Amino acid sequence: MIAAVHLSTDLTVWVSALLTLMVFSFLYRDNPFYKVAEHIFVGVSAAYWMVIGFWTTLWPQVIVKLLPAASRVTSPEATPGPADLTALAPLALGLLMLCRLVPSWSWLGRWPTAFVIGTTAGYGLVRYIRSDFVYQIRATVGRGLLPMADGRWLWQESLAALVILIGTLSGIVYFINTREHRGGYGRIAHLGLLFMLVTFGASFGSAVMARIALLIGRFQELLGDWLGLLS
Amino acid sequence: MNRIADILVRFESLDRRWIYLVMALAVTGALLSGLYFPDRPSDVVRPVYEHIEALPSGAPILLSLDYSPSSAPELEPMAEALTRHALLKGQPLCFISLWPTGNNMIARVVSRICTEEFPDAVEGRDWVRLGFQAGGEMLVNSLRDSLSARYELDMGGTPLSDLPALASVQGLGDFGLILSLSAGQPGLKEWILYAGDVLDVPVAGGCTGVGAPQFFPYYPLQLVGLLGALKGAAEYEAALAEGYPDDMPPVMRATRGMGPQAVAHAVIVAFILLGNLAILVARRREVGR
Amino acid sequence: MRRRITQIILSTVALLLIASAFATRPSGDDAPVLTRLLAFCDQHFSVWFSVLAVFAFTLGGVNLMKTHWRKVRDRAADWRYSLITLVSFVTVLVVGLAKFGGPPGLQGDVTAPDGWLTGIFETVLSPLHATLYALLAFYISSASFRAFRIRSTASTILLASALIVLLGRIPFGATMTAWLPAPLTFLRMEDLSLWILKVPNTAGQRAIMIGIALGVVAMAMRLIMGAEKGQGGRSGE
Repeated sequence: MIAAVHLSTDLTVWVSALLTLMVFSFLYRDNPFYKVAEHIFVGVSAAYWMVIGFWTTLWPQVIVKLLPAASRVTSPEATPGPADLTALAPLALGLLMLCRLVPSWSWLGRWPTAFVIGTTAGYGLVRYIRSDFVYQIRATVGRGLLPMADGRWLWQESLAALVILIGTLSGIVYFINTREHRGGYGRIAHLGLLFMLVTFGASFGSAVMARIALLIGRFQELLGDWLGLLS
Repeated sequence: MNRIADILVRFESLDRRWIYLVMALAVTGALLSGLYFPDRPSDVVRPVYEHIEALPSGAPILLSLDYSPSSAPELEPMAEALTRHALLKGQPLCFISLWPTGNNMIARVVSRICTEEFPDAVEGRDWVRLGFQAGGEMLVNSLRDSLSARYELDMGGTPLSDLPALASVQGLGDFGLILSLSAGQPGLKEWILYAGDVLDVPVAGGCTGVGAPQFFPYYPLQLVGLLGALKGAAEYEAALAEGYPDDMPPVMRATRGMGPQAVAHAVIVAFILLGNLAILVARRREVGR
Repeated sequence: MRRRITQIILSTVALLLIASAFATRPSGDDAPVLTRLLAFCDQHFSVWFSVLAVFAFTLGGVNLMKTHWRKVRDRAADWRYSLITLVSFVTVLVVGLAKFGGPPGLQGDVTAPDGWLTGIFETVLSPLHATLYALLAFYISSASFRAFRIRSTASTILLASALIVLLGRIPFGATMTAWLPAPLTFLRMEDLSLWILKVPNTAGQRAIMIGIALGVVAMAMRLIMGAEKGQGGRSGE
């Protein structure tokens, strides 16, 4: 219910509200207030990510490992262990990556990039085959099309399993572009398209829900924390 | 009748800023009226609740807050509800994050729920904050066999070996449940691919409305359950209210948000129907001519 | 030669990690060398990747600032906005690296509740980030109005699916179909919308997922074999 208007006296709440309204002003049209807010966001978020990355990852995984005494800087009660020289490898790769900033040395940046791509490919290949291929096939046909429980045929699960099997197979057929979608094959591909349309419609409906929730969150802060209109 | 048809045809070329205004007024009105609707847990959300209820006493839960402020309105209510549940049930909770904004997201949940609502709960015994480290799925992979491969200290500077909450935990496989509330990548998918399916440890999660449809293929074989969008959070709050009626606030955050959500959905559906009606009328006029 | 080194690094790292997924964990110092090597790679490459991710953040941040600095230096169009970006960046960088506020010196967590970085996060970054995404709610409502038109069977199916999911998630939708009698309760809006997500949506998403998994495998193989341009492979830079 509506409470009496009770403007916040907290400066931080006013700054947040002002920045929020500056961004919302874009809905009317592009304007300098929106541009200022946008540029503040770009600068603050870039630095924030760098700072967080440094203290949470670079510091413990490189600096403290190479110079264990440095751990006392952030935790005076810490007991430094022996140095771990394997941390030299990521440090070297990282410095090579920063060579991209100097045009004549930028070719050195390809080696850490190759490491990153190789790592992603190496780890990802097995995981994707297992979780997104084998397990998905198992989930599609694993229970069979005649699931039973306590001697009863679960006809609803059976129907669902059949629909999922048909939808998955026809969807896969739809995505195969190396064969022309004609005749019987074309009809299966068309069925796959219909399943895709239902999928995308469901995704849209869900996406609407997500975006509205974000708006509600902002309005709750404006109306509640700033204007004090919400009890 | 012709007048209505004229209005509808003109409606088709409505300036979008009028649509924005109607949406803003609808949400504002719903918020000011305090409208909300009680919910009930669906059969995708209920298994998460039941799994936590069935955990043996003391089995730790890993809760990964993989989101930023842009998704907090949907995922923070889930984080709060799950934290409440774990603390009420007495399951030690371990906060972690794959996103750089995760530490601040953890701080919010800890301050609102752990310290305010559970003043007797003790950090280190009832909950632990490991926080964020870079790497995404590589962080998950590193923690597979041993948490101390990446974390020697928690966010408060305490060695992991001194934390009673993690006394029974060596690696990710020792958790009773891994929960990821994720707004994108890295997130729930990475926990499934790099932890759940590798170690056979139960994984459940929450996600934004945008991501929810993509996780249904993992349910129920690879996901215990799924809290999808603000509705999923409201359903979990309903499950909590059923199971712990004396310990819950009368109306929780997600449930309160569902009122304006319902009004906004109705507005969008009305716009879609009116838009199509306008096209139908315009086409009939064309045919008539 | 440079391209060859790049390809060797990529292929070696990838093959070692693929092999490590199938290797058993070494149970002591007398385990075979290969097993210990694969375990080392599995354990350490994740950490090195994470460290490189931070260097990548840094590279991105520095590049961004170089671009904005050039605009300010050359008094290019909208240079004042670039100045705002630079000032914001430097302020947060100094505040965060020096851990102003919070525990004394450089002790404690950088996101300590009373730290200045947390203050900046809650007052500036969080509302800006959240509001920029909240704008999408308005755009999606405008897009729904303009784009969701019944023009064909395909668009009708898309629209019907979206409407059922939209209505099924709110009490109004449940009220619309609450009158349906017992044998037809599965057609009630809330049950129908969940059924759409659990059955046809699952089928479609699964088909996409399987396709993507095969694509990931194919791309990984191409990268490992050096068949992919632009990554040190044939004709790659």
